[in-house]
Amino acid sequence: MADDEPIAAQGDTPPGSGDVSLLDALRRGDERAFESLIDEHTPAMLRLALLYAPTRAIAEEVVQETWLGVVRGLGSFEGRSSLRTWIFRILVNRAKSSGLAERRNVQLSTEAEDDADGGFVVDPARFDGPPRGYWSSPPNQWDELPEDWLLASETLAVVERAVEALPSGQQAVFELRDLRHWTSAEVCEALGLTETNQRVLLHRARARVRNAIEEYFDGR
Amino acid sequence: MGAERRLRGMLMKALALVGLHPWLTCRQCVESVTELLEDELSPRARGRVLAHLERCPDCPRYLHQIEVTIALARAINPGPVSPDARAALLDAFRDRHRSPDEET
Repeated sequence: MADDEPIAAQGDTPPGSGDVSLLDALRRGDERAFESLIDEHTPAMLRLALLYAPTRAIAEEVVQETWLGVVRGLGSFEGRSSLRTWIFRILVNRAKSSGLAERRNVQLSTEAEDDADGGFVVDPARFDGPPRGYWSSPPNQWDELPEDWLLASETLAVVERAVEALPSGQQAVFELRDLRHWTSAEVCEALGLTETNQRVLLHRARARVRNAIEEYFDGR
Repeated sequence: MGAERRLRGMLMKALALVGLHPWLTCRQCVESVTELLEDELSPRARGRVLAHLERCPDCPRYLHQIEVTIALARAINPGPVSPDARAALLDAFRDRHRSPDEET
């Protein structure tokens, strides 16, 4: 039964684990280690840069400059924070020097406090009961479809489009928390958000993506 | 177990029909799932959410779907880093680490 299944999506690796050998490799000039670092972090860095930069081209530039800063700074990196926290701090500093940061930060918390949808993540009309407040139109059973349907490239494309369509704050929080396994404290620090606003953005992001999947399977 | 659950669900809805919601409404439960997963509810609030989930025929599915949603999003492959950007970074990295006896 659905509710008896273990929470599969919550496995986390502690931040900073494996940093020591990775750092050694990078300092030795191990290109493969550097390449895997680029591949691991660039997508999330781009999303984060997009929060600050007005265009994708400028965001890409910020990411590129960040990596160059990382290359230059590796020798003096003291390992007081984890490698990725250090990298993303460089990124945010770069983005901030573009002068757009403050405005963007304000927008992020406004996004979290925006109650345009009445603060509800699922259409209130679906809770008409009876009794009122209880599901009248419960979630359809898409989660019971065979795995190869769920993991079909068409479904994943729906998921990807839904993530891309999220407002930028939701998108950044979802990416860092759920796809990159960051802790909420790390995300709050990187994005300048309060715990509550961070959670609100995560809550809305997950719900929107779920709604999109449901809509897709409803229409089939 | 299915039958017992159904009975408890019916009792919850019967109470709700006379205006009693000792275990939250579905709408409240749905709005609480992130706090539940983040483990940020007070023990009392957590107890109420879990009690609702034990009775409700539908909310456990919603919670499960949120977890599946996260898992599916993780299955998306991020697009590759652009070859030009990658080559430029590798060049910079190589320059930085050029040493006389480097093996390739």
